Amino acid sequence: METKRNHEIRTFVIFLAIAALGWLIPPFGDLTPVGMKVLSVFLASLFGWSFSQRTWVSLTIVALLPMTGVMNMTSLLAASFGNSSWVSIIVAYAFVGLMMETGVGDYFVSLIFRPRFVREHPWITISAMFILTWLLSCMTSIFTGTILVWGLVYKLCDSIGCKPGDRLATTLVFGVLISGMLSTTATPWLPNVLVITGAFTSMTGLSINYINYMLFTIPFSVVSMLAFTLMARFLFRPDVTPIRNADFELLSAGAKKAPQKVRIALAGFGVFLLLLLVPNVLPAGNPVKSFLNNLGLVGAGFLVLSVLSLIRTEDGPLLSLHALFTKHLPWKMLIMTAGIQALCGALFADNTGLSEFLSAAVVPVFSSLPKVLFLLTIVLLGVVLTNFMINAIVAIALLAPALAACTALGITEYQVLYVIIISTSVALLTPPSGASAMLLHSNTEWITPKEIWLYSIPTLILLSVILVCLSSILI
Amino acid sequence: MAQKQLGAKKNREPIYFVIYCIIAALGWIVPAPEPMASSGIKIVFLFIASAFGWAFTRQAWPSLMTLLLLPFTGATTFSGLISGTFGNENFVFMILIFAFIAFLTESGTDTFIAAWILNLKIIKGHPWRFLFAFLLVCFILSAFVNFIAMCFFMWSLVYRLADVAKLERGGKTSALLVFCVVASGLLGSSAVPWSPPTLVVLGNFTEVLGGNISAAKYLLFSFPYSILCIFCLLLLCRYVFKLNLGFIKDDSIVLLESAKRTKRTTIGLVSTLAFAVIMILPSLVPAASTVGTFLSTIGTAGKLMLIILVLCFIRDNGEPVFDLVKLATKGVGWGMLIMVAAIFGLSNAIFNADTGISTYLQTALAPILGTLPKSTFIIVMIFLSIGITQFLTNATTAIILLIPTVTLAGSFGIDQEILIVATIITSGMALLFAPGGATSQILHGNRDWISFRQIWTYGVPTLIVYGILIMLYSLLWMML
Repeated sequence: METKRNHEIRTFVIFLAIAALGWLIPPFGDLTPVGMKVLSVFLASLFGWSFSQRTWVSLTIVALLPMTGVMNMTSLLAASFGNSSWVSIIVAYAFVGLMMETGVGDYFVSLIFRPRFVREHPWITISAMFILTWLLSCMTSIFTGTILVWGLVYKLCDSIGCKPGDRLATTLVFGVLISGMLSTTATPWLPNVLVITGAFTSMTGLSINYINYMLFTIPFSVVSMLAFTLMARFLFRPDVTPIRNADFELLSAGAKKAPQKVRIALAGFGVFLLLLLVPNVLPAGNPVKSFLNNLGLVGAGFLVLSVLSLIRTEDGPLLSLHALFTKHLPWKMLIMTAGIQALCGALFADNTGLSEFLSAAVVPVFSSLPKVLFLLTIVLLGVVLTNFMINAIVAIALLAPALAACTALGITEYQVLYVIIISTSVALLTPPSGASAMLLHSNTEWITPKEIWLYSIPTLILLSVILVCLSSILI
Repeated sequence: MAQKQLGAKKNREPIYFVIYCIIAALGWIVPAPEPMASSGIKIVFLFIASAFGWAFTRQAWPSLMTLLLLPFTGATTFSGLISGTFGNENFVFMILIFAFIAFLTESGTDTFIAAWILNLKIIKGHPWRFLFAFLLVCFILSAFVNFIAMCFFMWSLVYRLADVAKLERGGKTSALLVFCVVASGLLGSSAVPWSPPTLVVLGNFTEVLGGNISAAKYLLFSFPYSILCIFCLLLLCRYVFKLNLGFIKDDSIVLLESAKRTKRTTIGLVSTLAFAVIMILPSLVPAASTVGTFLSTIGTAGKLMLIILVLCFIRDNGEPVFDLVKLATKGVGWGMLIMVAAIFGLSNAIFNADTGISTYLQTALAPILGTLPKSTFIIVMIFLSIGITQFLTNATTAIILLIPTVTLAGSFGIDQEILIVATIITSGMALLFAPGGATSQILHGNRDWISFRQIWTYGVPTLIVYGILIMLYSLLWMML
């Protein structure tokens, strides 16, 4: 206990020492004195977020930044808590809560083994479980999707006499987790993505085209799941024949017509998606497009949630927004997002000189590289760092220099953004690195740390290769 | 089936939603009167629709719809709206204060304060001193912790007292004690400038004037007034309601075990004190001094952040005493927070010069209210506030009255800030009808212990006394 306290206090002291450097060291390059202080707070925050899981890091950043002179507290709060991405996360989690409260996940799980072809071919059964995890995690969260399907895996293993530690059980548990992990960046309205795209918008002023984003990330997810299944078949080589003997009737128990709540929740979610995606396919100048663009993710969410809160089902009101927010909003993420947005707003403010400094320092290094090598560098840095540090922090640290090099290399900012978002989401090796790693390492009953490393290394290499190839093709 | 039909009958939300939409749509149909802009009339109707929605439903949809529709009035953009509402300093401060309040409750600071005061030797064997101390505890807990938490806690003491003294449930004495808890607690909920209900209005006022009412000035006004009110409530109980407290003479009645100070309650007390000091400090030190500059740089939210930051590093039994994530999850009242965002959005739009609403109100209200003597104007505003808040939520009432106060007070030569503080305090005095606010909702919800008739019997004289007192007190302040 004492050690924990000492750790936090030690981290805080080092954090302050790093931040204080900005006040002591004279600015260099194109950096202004304000920029130097902001940069030191940024470096201190990278250290703080890496070594402490507590919220004091983000709070200290928000408290310190006005003292650098970059902006006053009012403007800083408007740039952090008042950033659209902060409110977008609230909306996104309200939908996550809606899906969880109405039992959408349970219903999908009960459906998966109904088609006969899924029952007859073991590798199709396994693929269906991976797809189900991906789909559920996209609609709810990696926690819900993965834990629900893991439950299904345990039941399946039980019905065929497969024990924890058997290669089949390990492959299934690991594969389900990988599918869940791939979902965390598949759609642009997922909370993890919103944190990074919000920072991107703060840095560049560019907004995200949802369809373009998904044209990159969904193929990546599909190819990766397919490649992983092939790797599992030919590299991990579990004996899948017992799956043929599974009691699928027992596993599909309760698969009847969708309950009223599930149908309404899915319809609401469908309308929400439509409101988000339709403006991307309408021609410029179309009044519907401009109306929906005005709405944005937050407006569309408010509209759908308002209408859903009017509905009463046979079990009572469909949802209470107050209860939904209270139960499902992740304050840790919200506070950290506010800290990240505050930093991004401050880093690229006109009075810091950081943009000019990065252009002068980073562009000459990267501009001589071929595009593929540049992408490979970004992917490798992202994948390696994210396995030891929090995903969003790695992404923010990589975004600034990578974006500075974009123009010189003739690569669009969006491509760099997509590559960074995906490469910094594949956290597997150490528990604190991200949600996927935390889930995997906490499942000690079904997978050991040694197995995690044995399965993770080839998977990380595979995903990195797919990412570099896909981004090179698209670029 | 019958249950289903009953359920379907009871769902009036879609009807309210349609009415809300119709009222809001009128803004796009009705032509704007001179000198109001077309965006102005849209905002006016959106405001009326919101007031309707907030009055008739406890759901969050009126606030969400208001936020959604505001950018379409043309008065603001969506990103401007988000940064002016969710990014408003007072909004962030509210999130933090909710967590801080949850900490005070969790650490047992509220129980400690109550036990300490109620076990003072000076009140033993003196029923009226005891009642004064009891009401003072209600006021303090409501001001520094939370009104609703205070109500449930202090009511539990009333129930215990009734049980020990064999008082009839719903009888005069027990009903009056239940009433007094709310009547003194409502004074507390608007007595400090950093309490969430006060912040809603104060935040709007800051937006309008671009300045701040200093915490010291607010407290100097509200605290003596509240103590005076509690004293008058005591007099009302004794001489008008004829409350018999003979049963309290028995020294054996102990409502709370003597206050035991733990590490957590000490931290709770010290942090509350530190917070009050840091909030008042800017009024005491010169603005140009290092401390003054520092406090002004970090702003209101930054001050509370500093207190919370320190608390984050203090541990008790190996656990951090202040876990922001846990406390925010437990303490943040999302209903109020979303409503506050909508109110901030609306008031930003209402007082935006481009909409012409302020100019229109000045020209429209000046002939009606402008001819009144200064004191009559103050009386009208105070009694309007007390009257309206019985039907509409406190924040809605205060925002409605903020418009004429801000636009007309200057022309009367009245201290605008004092009138705003008086409006904030009186708009929290909801007692007579349930929809008026948290105070009346909670009082009317306790039908086992107090009837509708009893609420009116005790409520009307109390409100008249509170109203007269604040009127006289405001005039006195303005004369000084």
